[in-house]
This record gives sequence, C-alpha cells and structure tokens, in this order.
Amino acid sequence: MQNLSKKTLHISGIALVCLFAAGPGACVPKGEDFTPGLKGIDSDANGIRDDIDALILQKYADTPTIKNAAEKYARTVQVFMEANTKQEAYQAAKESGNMVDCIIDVILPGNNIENYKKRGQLIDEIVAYTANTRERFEKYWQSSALIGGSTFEINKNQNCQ
Amino acid sequence: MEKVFITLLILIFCSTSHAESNLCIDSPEAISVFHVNGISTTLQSARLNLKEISNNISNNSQINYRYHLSYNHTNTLIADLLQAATQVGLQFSSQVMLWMTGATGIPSWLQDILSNAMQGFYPVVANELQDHVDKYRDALLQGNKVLIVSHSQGNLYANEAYEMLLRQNPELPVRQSVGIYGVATPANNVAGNTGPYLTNNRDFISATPGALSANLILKYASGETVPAFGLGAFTLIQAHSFTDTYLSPAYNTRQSVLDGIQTRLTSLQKPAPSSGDGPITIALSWAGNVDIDLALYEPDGYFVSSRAGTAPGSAVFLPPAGHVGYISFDAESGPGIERYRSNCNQLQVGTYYLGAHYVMDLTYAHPPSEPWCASLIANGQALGYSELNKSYCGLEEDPMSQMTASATLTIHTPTEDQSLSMTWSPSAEIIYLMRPESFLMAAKLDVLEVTNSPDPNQNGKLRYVITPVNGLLPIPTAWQAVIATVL
Repeated sequence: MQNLSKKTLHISGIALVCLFAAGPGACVPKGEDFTPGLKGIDSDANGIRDDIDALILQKYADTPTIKNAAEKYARTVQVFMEANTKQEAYQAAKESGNMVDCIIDVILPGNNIENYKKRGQLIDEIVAYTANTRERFEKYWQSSALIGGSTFEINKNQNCQ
Repeated sequence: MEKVFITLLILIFCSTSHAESNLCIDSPEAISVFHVNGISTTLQSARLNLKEISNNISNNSQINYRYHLSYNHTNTLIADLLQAATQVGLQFSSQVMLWMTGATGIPSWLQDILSNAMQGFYPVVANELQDHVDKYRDALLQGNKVLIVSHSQGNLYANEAYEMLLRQNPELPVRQSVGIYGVATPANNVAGNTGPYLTNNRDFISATPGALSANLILKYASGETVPAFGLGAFTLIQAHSFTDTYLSPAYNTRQSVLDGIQTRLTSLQKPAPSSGDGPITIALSWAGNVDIDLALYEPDGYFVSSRAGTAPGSAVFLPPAGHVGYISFDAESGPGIERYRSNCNQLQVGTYYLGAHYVMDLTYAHPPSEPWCASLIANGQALGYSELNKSYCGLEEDPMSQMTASATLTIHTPTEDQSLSMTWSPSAEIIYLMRPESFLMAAKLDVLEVTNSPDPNQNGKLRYVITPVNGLLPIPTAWQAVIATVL
C-alpha cells in the first residue's frame, strides 16, 4: 500500500508538471521506460509498468471505472507480450480481447465520435507503450505469430467487473 | 532393445446407460460473422473492429448471431520491418507501433514497407488459412450462415478460404450460405465476383495492380469531401485504416460498411444443418502442448480421424467426412477441441468405437517426423501419389520420448453427457508415436434404434447404449501397412 501511494504521488507529479507546462490534453507523458527486458520498471508490482501507469493516470482516468478498466487491459497486453507458448498466448489473447469488449461496451460506449476515438486511442496506445522497445516490439509480434490462424469469439455474457 | 510402457487410464464417470429421446431438432437461424484482419494489425485493434461491427449490425431477436475474429499474422512483414529499422538506425519507442496504426509523422521507409505489404506483396500463410477454413466449415455444418468481413490483406485470406471451401467440400452449400464483404481490398474479386466491397477514393490500396477500384468518395460526416492525400490531415496508412476511417463515425464510410454487411447478410440462405449438436456429438478436448486426434469407427467399419484426410477433393490433411458424421476440424495443438457430429439425416444404428490418437508431443523444436510422414504416406497413397514413400519423408534415425498426455472424450446426447478420460503415460522410455499404443479407445457406443430416419427431425427417436472401454483402438488396415513401412 505504501508503495502504491508513493508511486501514485510520483505519477501525479509528472502529470501536473505536464499540465502546467503544456496545457490540458496537449502533453504526452515523457520518460517512456526503455530499460532492457520485457517487464520494465514496475515499482509497485501491480503488473503495469510505471510509465504505463502514468499514461493511464494522465489520459485514461476520467472516472475510476475507466481507470480500472485501462489498468486491467494494460495487464492483459503485458501478459500477452510475455507469452512463450501458443497456449499462453491464446489465453492471454482471449483475456485481452475480452477487455477490449468491455472498454467498448461499458467504459466508453456509444457511437459519438469522442468516445469512439478515445477508446481506439486507449486500446492502441497501451499496446504501443507496452511494445515500446525493439525487444518488446519483437516479442509482441512473436506472441501475435503464436495465435496466427486462431479464432476468438465475442463472449456475449462477458462480465466486465 | 526398446521398452515401451503405456499406462492407459480411463476414468468412468458414468456406468453403462440407456436412453430414448427426440432426435436432431433443427436449430433456430444462426449467423456466424467472422472478421479477418489486415496485415500489421494488432490483435487488440482487430478485436476492436470486430466489436464495433457486432455492436452496429441490427440484431433480429429471432436469430442467433455469433461474432468471431479470425486472426492472421504475417511474420515476414515484421522481419522486414526490423531489418529496415536496423539499417536506418531507428530508435524504438511507442511511436513505432502508433505509426503502424496510422499516426502522423511516419517515416517514408516505414510507410513504404507497410503500403507494399498491404498491397498484397506478402502471401497468405497456409496453415493460418486452413485454420480459418476449418472454422468456417464447422459453422456451416452446424447450419449457420457464414459472413466473412475482411479488411485489406484479410481479403486475400477470405477469397482463398472461400475457394478452399468450395474445393474441399463440394457437398456443402458454400455459394448460397457463405459470403464475403470486402473492405479496402487489394484483390481483384470478392469470392470470385465483383463485389460487394468498399474502398474509399483516398485509400492507396486501390492503386494495387489489378485491385478492385475505389467505389466511394470519402467524405466527412458533415458531407464535406475529404481532400486528396497531402492536402488534408490523412496519412497514407490512416486512409486505409479500418478503425480510423472505415468504421469511424467521422466519415461516410462507416454507414456504407455497416449497410453493406447488413445487405450481404440478408442475401445469404440458411443452410440445412449437415450435422449438429444432436443426436450424437463426440467431443475430444485436451490442454497440453500435444497434438491428439479424435479417431473412431462408424458402424460400417469406416475409420474417421481428424488426420485421415480422405474427403473427396480434399487437401492432404483435411478432416474427413465419415459415412455417418463429420469431424469439425483438426486442432493441431492444445488447448484443442475436435468434434464428431452426426449427420442429422444419416444417423445409423450399429456400433461406434470411439477413441483418440496421440499424434505428437509439440514441445520439441523439431518434432519427430514419423507420424507426420506416416500420415503423409497414407494420404498420399489414398490420393494416388505413389512417389510418397519412406525415403521421401527423410525419417529421423532416432525416435524420441514424449510427454504424458491426457484428453477427455465426451459423448453428448439429447439427454446426457458422458465424459471419459484417456491418459497416455509413457515411462521415461522412448516411444514411437505411431505405435498401436498411441491409439486408445474410450467407449463403445451402440445405437440401437433410430426411428423416422432418414428424417429424424420429424419426431425421431434415439435409443443407445454407451459402454466405457479400457483398451486400444485398432489401427485401420490401410494405415497398418503404411506404418509398417515407415517404422
């Protein structure tokens, strides 16, 4: 809990500086994690890299529900990238796909252009941050290769909680 | 001298049973919509597109809609991209992936790689394609209309899949019940026809040699025409993007795509189910990183296995139709499930011997070639390719050990499900995977009465006995000769 608070304060600080410097909506979190390895720095061990935590806090934390969904989604993308076998990749892909459905249905629903753009951005940006080094990029696509040819069905009874 | 120890364990959840019930009720109308993504599309982005489609197709409450993503991945593109990135000394960041999804500022070398790839310069991946075809066939066999909504290179997959279905299953109503709706297609046809499809006039894909031409002037939702590339805010990739352009509420493409899908759906005919989840369905499921094939004998002694590959006009490894039912498809690794569905109009009385074949342990980087080779020879001979023999296969000198494997065989009937576990537990000793011990039997199914056949939908009756069996499933005679040659 202590770690989480310290991390949140740190991330909030980054976001505030960014807001003052560039104005709302204009700044993108700096300091992407380029450390070697797939996991990067996850100081509170919540399954999300610190820079992605910062991204979510800054851009996808309009409500606790959206923030919570973005965090869950980010974890599934990380797990997907780290998958080493077809089974792992398939399972992670299913879970990541389910979270995509949730983001669309529950978190940012409707066909207004703002929500449409924002949910697309959320989904793409977290993948992009997760695969932000050559090593991670390459591994992300290796995981994708593992599920090439697979079929995933939308679960109509998906529970997004 | 090798020692082979196989421990067969069948857990009997239910004792021998009898039942009588109605047969094979025709299911309500069902539609399976599959989305096939384009090249360089992330799994998450492809899922987003599928979900947007599913949320915006008008649903008829009398119809069961199912939405699937048929994911394709083109490894060659990423390899080329990484090689080029090394050459130009690219500093990786999140921006690289964002450029691939249409973000502005994309370097020209990356744009060239992506646009070349999207114009179809990378061929479809054969095993991915066959996986897709298997799923389409399975849906069709169950009486579902099948609509494939394909984007970009996914159109090449969809067209080939359609042709494969026609070729592999001429008995199925593919032309009537399977449709394609193409979006941003680099192909020169849609399932052999000139449409339906949608390509906007700002999409570079229509410049692909031979591609169907653009058929919609791209406009903002306000009605204003989107200016030519270079004058507006579009990147080359963005104008081609399913998410950013074709499905976006910001453009006129969205309604056109959704209307096109809806129209194509309406024009499809409901296929009569060739097989269904009743009266008898046999399901084999397993979780390990192994390949296991459902295998059984029908009452007339006909051997059906997901690896037998003897369907008329089939590719070598096409899961075959038996005389009484179909195997849905050949799942080649765990977690896998294969189903044998009885034909609604041809269920026969008699004895069915139900089991499975442990084909191979997939944890090896280079799996042993014996089973693959034996199948190849068996199928090759069946198809008249006499040149396929032991020397053709280039067999490994040394057989390898395999991991323990287990699977569950479930017999579904209208009144009950019986599950039987099968375990292949070799000791540390080496084993030849095509040895008789790799074929296990789980149960004997005696169908005693099928009334009103061949049309059991009309108040038909089914009476049967299931007897769990702990033993080996005989290898078909035709295979025995081949295996003797190989081993």
